[in-house]
Amino acid sequence: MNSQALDKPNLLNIYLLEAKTETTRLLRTPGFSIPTLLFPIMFYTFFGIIFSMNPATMPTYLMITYAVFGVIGPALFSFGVGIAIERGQGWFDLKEVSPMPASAYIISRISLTFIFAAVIVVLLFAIGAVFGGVQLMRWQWISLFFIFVLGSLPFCAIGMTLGLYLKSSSAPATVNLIYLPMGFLSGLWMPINFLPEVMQQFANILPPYHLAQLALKITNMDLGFPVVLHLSVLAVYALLFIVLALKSYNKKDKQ
Amino acid sequence: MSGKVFTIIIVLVAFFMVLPEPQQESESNVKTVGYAATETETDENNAETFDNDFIIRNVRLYDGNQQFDSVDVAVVDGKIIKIEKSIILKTINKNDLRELNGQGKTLLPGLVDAHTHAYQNALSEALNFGVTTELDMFTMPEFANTHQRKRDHADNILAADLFSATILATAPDGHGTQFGFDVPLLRSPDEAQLFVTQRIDQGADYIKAVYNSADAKQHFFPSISKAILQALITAAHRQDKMLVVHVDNLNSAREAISMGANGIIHSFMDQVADDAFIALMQERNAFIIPTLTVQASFTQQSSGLALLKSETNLTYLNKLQRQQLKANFPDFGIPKDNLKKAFESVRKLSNAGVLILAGSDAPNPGTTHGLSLHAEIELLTQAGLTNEQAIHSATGAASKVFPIGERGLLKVGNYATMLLIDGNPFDSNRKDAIKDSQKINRIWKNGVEFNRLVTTQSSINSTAETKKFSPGLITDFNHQLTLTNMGSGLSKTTDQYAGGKSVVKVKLSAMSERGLIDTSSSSASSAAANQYLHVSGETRKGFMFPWAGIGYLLGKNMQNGVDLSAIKAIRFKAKAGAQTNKLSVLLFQSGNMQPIQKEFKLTTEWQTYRLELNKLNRFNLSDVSNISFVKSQSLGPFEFMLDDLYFE
Repeated sequence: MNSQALDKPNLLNIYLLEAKTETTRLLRTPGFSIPTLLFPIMFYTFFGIIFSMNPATMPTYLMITYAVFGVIGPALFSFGVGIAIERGQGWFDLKEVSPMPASAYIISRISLTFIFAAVIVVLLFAIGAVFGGVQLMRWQWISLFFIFVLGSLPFCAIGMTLGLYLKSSSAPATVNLIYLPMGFLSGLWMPINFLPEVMQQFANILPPYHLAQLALKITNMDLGFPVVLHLSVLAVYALLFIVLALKSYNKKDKQ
Repeated sequence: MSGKVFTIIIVLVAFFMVLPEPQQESESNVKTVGYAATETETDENNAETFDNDFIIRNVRLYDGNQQFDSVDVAVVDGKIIKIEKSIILKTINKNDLRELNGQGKTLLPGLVDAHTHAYQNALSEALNFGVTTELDMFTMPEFANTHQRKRDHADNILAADLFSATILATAPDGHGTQFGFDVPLLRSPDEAQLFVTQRIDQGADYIKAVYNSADAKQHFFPSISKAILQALITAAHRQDKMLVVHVDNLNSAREAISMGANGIIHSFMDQVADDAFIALMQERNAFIIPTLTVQASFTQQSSGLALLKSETNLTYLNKLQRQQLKANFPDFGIPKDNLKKAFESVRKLSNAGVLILAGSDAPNPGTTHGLSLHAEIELLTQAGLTNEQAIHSATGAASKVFPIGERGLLKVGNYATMLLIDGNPFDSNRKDAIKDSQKINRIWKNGVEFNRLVTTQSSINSTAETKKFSPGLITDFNHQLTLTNMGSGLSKTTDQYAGGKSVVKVKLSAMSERGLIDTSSSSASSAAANQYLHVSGETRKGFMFPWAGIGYLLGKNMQNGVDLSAIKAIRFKAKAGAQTNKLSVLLFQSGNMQPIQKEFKLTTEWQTYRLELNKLNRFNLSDVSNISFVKSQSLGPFEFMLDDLYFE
């Protein structure tokens, strides 16, 4: 099948192949797939269901915030750690000189992120519904799903920048150092209003906080700020990091 | 490849189809479990009452002006201290307040009925359906004053707050004179000033006049003249009182408002309000209390029978109220379609921004205190108000014009006078959503939960007089285990009656100087002088509220109570067995299987305990059927001793 595809350089085929091989590769790398899948689900089961402080709302609230936490993971790791390691191994350079368009590389990673995000969200929904007694209207379930999956995009941009700046050896630790505290400070681990006032203020500059607020709007559990605010913060972050990524990429070229 | 993608999509769609949706509230909440079968509210929440200090979580709230989707409401010392958007606020529950889950429910301010005639038990009947304020439009000053005095006291928790016009202003043989009360009459404008002063001295909160224009086509009753009405309005305003006018036609309404009346009562049915009248109402900032319920009844389209169809409503309607709802006006020959004109006027006035107040005009035929305000709210929506506007008219609207403080508003700092209803009366997707206002789950007055008065079928049927008990010894157990000096005696009581598995043993034991001796092992003569009742047993799983102990039946049976209003307190001696123990005293009203419960902590020493009957909230002493001394709530073996039961 591979050779067949190489015979006829069909652009769509290239995209699909790249996405497919990347997915297979990641699935065969348990070091990536297991923690990204398990972390949010484990945390949610503990804090959202077993030690729930308010059985009426806590499982729903935390299902949403842990889903945000969950979808950020693959975005940061597949881009951030993935690119850094491939750069370290020289694999990145090899791909650059291959006839494959650069966009295929990015799109394959985005679809990869989407697939992982979708799996995480589906697992969290299932746990929430079965063990947490979460009940939402059909449209709420579906809109949440799409918010989560699409909401991983700004974090792909952040991950890409990290991947291009970080050294392969330090990337996993650094990404974790960003991922976990950012999740906590954005109120993804426990409701934002449990945090001290100062930390709540600080959350305003963190993108996961805004994604979580957007999603919480669907179930009316948000803090009541306008949708536009959250969307624009996320958009600004996405743009900023795309620009940073391009800068770093071009700089690398000139060396 | 595409096959796989297709499969994944199918699986995803299927997954989203099986994800659970919130259940529409179902009738299955009404459990019928033996003993509790006569109660209508047996959902798990209602097992306990929430008084003074509690939090309601995740509840939809309408504060009288505005709707909030999901909030937490914290009540401390009977007052609302916090209303916050629910985001699992652990933060506000520092005091470990008990929590009530309000999901799927709606919290409304206590309702304000802007037009009633209050006498007898009107105010408790009103409260029984969540009407916490009544604006009376004509009653005897003696009745009004008694209740007006109570309304600013926090302990006025068994009745609605009353505001009153006391006696209305009318002409000789005019409307208002047909009820057999002695009514001062107005014959000339000169008398207006004195009339108003007298009303205010008698405690009128506002003045009500009955007026029919000389130009009106129909004259059902003689009316005061235009000059008298003008003089009344001037006099009332001079003394800072508002004046409302009862009218039955558009021209009279127009004249009253243009002369300066603050509002009109009854949406006239002779014609639809015209643009000039609507403009006048806007310009004068006048309001209208349409009383569509009584208008419907007046045109032989009473809402009363429909209200009686609901089993839940019936439970809380006493005999008199049922009669009131069944009653009809004589047929005055007014075309039924005239009611539509009233509806149309209300719709036009509301659209023009004129303030509409909900008033039932209870207890006119076809209406009753409390419940009929819910009917009025529903009729207002039929006239064209939105559900929110209709509920506003029965809550936040009244305090915009009437001097009733912040009644009808749920705000931080106010007493928690409110009602929790099942469902969402604001739901625009359901046609009958407004009827949810009748699905009352709980009612609070000044922070204390009102135990709704239940009327059973048997008490409707019974005609027997209740016996009145006087203070004295009930039993000292020195002669008999079961017989008492008054009432039908003592007997064992356990939850087996309701399908439970708890057990109890009772016996008489004797007390000696040295300690306790069983009757069987002591000489009869000395023992008889000082015997006590020994109760032991075990409360076991099997019924929702396990209990076991001894019951004291006052009347012939649970349906027949006796009058304890002459009794101040029950006094008894008690001690626990081996360990300190809690003793619960349950007081039952006849025909009502929901007792009032008081707990006493027993020690292993004999002590005298008193249960103050006259201090009990929400309990009608004139009809008590049973007083039980039991172990309840917790499970396990128990042992307690009782002696010297007295009515004080």
